[in-house]
Amino acid sequence: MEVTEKLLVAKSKKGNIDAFEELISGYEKKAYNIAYRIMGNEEDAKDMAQEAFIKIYKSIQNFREESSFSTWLYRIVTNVCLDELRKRKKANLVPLEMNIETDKGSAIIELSAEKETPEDICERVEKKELIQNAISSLAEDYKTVIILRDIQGFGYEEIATMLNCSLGTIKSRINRARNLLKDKLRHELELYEKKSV
Amino acid sequence: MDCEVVRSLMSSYIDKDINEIDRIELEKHLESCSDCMEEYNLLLATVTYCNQLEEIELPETFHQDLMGKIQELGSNKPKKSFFKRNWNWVAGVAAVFVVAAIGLSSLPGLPGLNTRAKSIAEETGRGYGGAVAQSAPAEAPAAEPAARKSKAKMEFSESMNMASVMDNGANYALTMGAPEEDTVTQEKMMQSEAETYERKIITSGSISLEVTDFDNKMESIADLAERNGGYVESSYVDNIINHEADGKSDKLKTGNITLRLPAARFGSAVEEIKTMGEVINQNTNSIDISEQYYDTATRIDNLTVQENRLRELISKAQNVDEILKIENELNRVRSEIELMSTDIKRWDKQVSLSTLYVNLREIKAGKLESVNVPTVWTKAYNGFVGTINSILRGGEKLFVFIVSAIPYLIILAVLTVIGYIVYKKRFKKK
Repeated sequence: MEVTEKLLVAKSKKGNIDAFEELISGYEKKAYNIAYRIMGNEEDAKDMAQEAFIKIYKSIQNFREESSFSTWLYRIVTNVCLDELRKRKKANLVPLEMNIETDKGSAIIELSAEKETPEDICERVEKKELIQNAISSLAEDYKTVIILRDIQGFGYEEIATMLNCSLGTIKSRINRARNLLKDKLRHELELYEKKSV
Repeated sequence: MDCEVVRSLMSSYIDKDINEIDRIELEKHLESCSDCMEEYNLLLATVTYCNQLEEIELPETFHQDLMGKIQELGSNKPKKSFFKRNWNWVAGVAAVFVVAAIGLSSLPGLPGLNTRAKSIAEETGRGYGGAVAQSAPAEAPAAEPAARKSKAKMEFSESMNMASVMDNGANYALTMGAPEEDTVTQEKMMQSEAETYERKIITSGSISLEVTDFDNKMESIADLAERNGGYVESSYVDNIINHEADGKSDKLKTGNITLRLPAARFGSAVEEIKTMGEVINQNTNSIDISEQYYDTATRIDNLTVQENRLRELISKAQNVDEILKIENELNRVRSEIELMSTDIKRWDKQVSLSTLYVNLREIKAGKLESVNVPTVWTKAYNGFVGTINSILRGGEKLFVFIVSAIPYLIILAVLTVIGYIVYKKRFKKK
């Protein structure tokens, strides 16, 4: 861990809010993105990411500095999101907007409205949504590793620490997750290949 | 290299987390096998698409909102508002204490109001008889400290348990290892081919018992394990000296014993042990390790294939350099296989032999009933006796108080009379 970060952690442990603010400022976006991928929509992502940060603030005392701060932070973010999903599954709540057919993507379209032809946008958004939906439909374990490895680009070891699993387990889980995802996307990808060739 | 091995290595290949030899073999295979090549392209495309998913921007108000919430949280915490906020609370607690203290001194021993009275009520309920408390107030205080001591001890251990439970709760979200139940449900939902192979389930459980004949039960449990084709993994006995409320002390044993039982016999053994004494608590749980198990098994298979190939290669090696390289690789593969095989062996053992922890605590023969949860009637009876006792003791105290106050009363009476006379005389003069 960097020296400045260590210092900030130490200050935050003493309850210094300014230090805490500085400490997390670099991680907010990534944490939000992890939450977004796991939860599947922006609203939940915001809630979960904030809940996670509040939890981090409350429990920073328990951070034993065995791993880097970021790993610990992302681990909590992942956990908070997964817990929420489990809770919802128990309560049979339907998430606000995901897994619903591909014809609605307005929220995402607004995000990156660069100058593209409508068809371009349509195709890109569609593909994006296909992938997000496919990822969302994976089982929890697999979804998590795909998000951490292939979307967020964490290394094997970091993921292993985050998920508290052995490196071997992570490797085989990533392997299986990718294959499951591949099978889900097979049809769509084949279509896409044809188009792009 | 066959297609299966190639497919299991593809993911590592994409991440470039693959050794030289495997890489060359894999590339060779991909060139020759169009099916695998297609699969590879698909997998690569999948990964690439995931990589290409763009990061989305933080909502504008995210940071502000968050810091707002945290600030709020922080201001609820001590430090700044300590003097303003917490005083009410402290005052409330203090008031309760004062009331309790007053109540304690003015109502000598109404049952349920204070622990002292409670312990006395319990004593009477257990058959020491009202006589002890009634006829010998001098004796009661001597008994009390001991009773209180054991009580305090119990409360302490209770609060310890509470603390650890709360700790668990708090840490639950922080430690990634989700509780077993969750893992089990997760595994259940896996839509893989899981159903077709035998589930690997590790069962374990624990029982806590209170028994009167400790040594006998210890032996019969060990015997039971052997009868069922299991064995005693470890056992531990401790003599503890138990201080009784009446000042006596006696030695009681506690101990635990860890059994390994064939999974099939686990349930019946648990039932049998439960009949041996008073069950304080009991639990069983099972962890499904099928996924890990079969993953590891497949990886061992793959590595064995690799090992054989390496052995072939080593016989064809041209020079020392090559031999060394291959031997290095061979070593690595070998040690990995061994590591994983021990895992498999350990799991096999855990799956075939369930673990059962039995906790035994000896109690005195006659006390078995008093340990039972009292019924409403016994509670009422105890309360009634306790109340009578405390009324008697209260009356007694009042009597003692009045008697001991007599000298003061006499002085007071004399002074009053003098005062009255003086007053009357002056009044008359006027």
